[in-house]
Amino acid sequence: MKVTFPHMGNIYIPIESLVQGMGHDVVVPPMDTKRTLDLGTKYSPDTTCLPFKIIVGNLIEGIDLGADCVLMAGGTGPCRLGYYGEVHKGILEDLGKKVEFITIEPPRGNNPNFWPQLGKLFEKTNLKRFAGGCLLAWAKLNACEELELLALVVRPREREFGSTSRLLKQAFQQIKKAQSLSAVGKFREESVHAVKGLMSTSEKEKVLRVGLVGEIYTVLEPFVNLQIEERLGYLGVEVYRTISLVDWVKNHIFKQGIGLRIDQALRRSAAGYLRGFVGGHGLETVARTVDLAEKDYAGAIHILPMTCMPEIVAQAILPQISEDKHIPVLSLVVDEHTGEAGFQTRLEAFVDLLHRRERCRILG
Amino acid sequence: MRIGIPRALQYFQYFPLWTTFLRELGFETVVSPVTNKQILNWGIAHSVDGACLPLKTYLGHVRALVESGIQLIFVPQIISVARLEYLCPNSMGLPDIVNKQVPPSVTLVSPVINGKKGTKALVQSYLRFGLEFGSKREVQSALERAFQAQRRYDESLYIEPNSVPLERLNILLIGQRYLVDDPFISIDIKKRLESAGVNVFTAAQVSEKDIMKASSILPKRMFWTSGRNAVGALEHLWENLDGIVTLAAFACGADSLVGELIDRKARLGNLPNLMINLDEHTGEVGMITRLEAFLDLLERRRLHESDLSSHGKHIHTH
Repeated sequence: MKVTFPHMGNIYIPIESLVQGMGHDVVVPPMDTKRTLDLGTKYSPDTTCLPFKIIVGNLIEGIDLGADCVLMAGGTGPCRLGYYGEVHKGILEDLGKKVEFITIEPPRGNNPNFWPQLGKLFEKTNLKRFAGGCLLAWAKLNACEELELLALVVRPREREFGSTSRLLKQAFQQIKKAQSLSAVGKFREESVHAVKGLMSTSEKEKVLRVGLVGEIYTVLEPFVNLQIEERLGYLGVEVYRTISLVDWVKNHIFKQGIGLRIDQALRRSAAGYLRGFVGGHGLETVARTVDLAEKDYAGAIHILPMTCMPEIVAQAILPQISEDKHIPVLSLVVDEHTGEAGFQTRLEAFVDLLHRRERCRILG
Repeated sequence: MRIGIPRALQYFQYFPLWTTFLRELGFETVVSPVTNKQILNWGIAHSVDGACLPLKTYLGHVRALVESGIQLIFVPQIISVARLEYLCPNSMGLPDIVNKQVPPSVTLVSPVINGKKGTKALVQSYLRFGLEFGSKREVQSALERAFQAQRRYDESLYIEPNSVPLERLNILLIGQRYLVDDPFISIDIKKRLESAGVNVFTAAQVSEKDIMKASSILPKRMFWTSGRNAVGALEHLWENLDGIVTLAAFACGADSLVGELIDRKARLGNLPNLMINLDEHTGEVGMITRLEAFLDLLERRRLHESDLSSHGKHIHTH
């Protein structure tokens, strides 16, 4: 099969290796563009959320490049992501695109097609080949994330404007092409070294530190969040991304896979504000904002797609945390109409506010 | 002790259960008034922009109770009411959302209602809550009476689809209970349809058993209770229908996807479907015009033996 899948940040790099490990060809859809968004908006129900629409765009573009199978993530609710696949399937069918549609989700007896589909996915591979693909994917995921996180520290301190992002782009391409663990390791090491070399002064230099919380897709997909990390970096802000894919895999696949609970720390942090899981990343957003305040971050930026239910619960609670814990919080809602200029202005105003606050704090 | 219950969200589904149970436990129940402009305005003032209309209304009802001097308000955290299903994230975070909006003198009574593991767990949730106010024997019999009241109410709504007069238009009004049953936020759409001589079906008129059976046509089980009801009711009543009116709350995730499933089914089955999105800006006049136009279309379709297309395509090619 020729498999395509939706984008989310750099996740296409490890997923490509993973799917190759299953013995299939991979069609990586073109990176998100205005066209992706237009296609998605055109064929999706009006009132659904932005990730849904962009994913429709990805899938159409991937299928138009020759894919005959779609790989999607599913879920068991209450976030609507869990039912994306069923609706996507209908949309593609109505467009006359005949593809195999496979949804990967926890097997909780609500999807009778789950096991047959999984069988189809694995019929062409053997354990050794698949294990190799998994290891390579895991190495690539770790390498990409390390570089992304490092860039967040380096960007506000880079000597030459834009050099970090340029170097990163090359590094990702090298990692994508790497076909062995040792090659990934080598590129990772080289790139980390090179990125660190772009810094003008020492890592210790004090810059504003801001945490990014919110819905996972909007946090990780630069096209959707209008490259918020880069924008903040260029405003001299070090961003701390509270959502990590590496941790996500560790928690949801390794730990939950063997039946461990994963939300205790989150519940502890969110205590007094939110009593538990509300779907999606709502609990994470609340808990991480409390953590940021306690770790003395200058501020928190909350990013969410318009009409995202779990994040609206969080958004309703964040002002209270902001007030109690003295941390400025900016909630940014994105949808297909989000304009760049307005977005930039709000970020600049927020950063100005944080700078003033810091100055007042230093002067007492 | 007086306890207030906001007339919004799950109240419309569970008021017999809740009021009976709370009364049996020794509370005097006070339900907030029917939604009005003032309540909605309060709600909007207390909510984040992006919240759905029903959640905003809920916060307005809480305020109405607070204004009338109620000190205790029943705001349950409903995680699930059926096995493997959820209501919605708002309902799971409801006490935490409301908590910050009431003055410190007001106490929320917020039992955790979780039936995700099945009916037994659901009953247990109420039992655990009741034990704070009475002995096990008392609570058990109170709960029994409460569930009985609920069952009686639910069953009183069920109807036999073929018992309705054939010559009238039959429309299924799809939508969350708290939209369909709230005359203010739904702009009284149910009454309007009925006074136009239409026979209106709702999902509440179909028994749980029939809904379960009919909704099993979905390839993947629906994890929203409201969505399962909508799909099940449509499937069950399909043969009797001339058209569908789908009410959705703007910003409701469940409604946005379930609405699409329903619309697609209607499109493929050539059944006219009027989709109405409700928010605080929905205007009465525009709504009436749309309803009238829709009913005209259904009438004409009946006269012309379904010769008129339901979804904009021309049936006659000459």
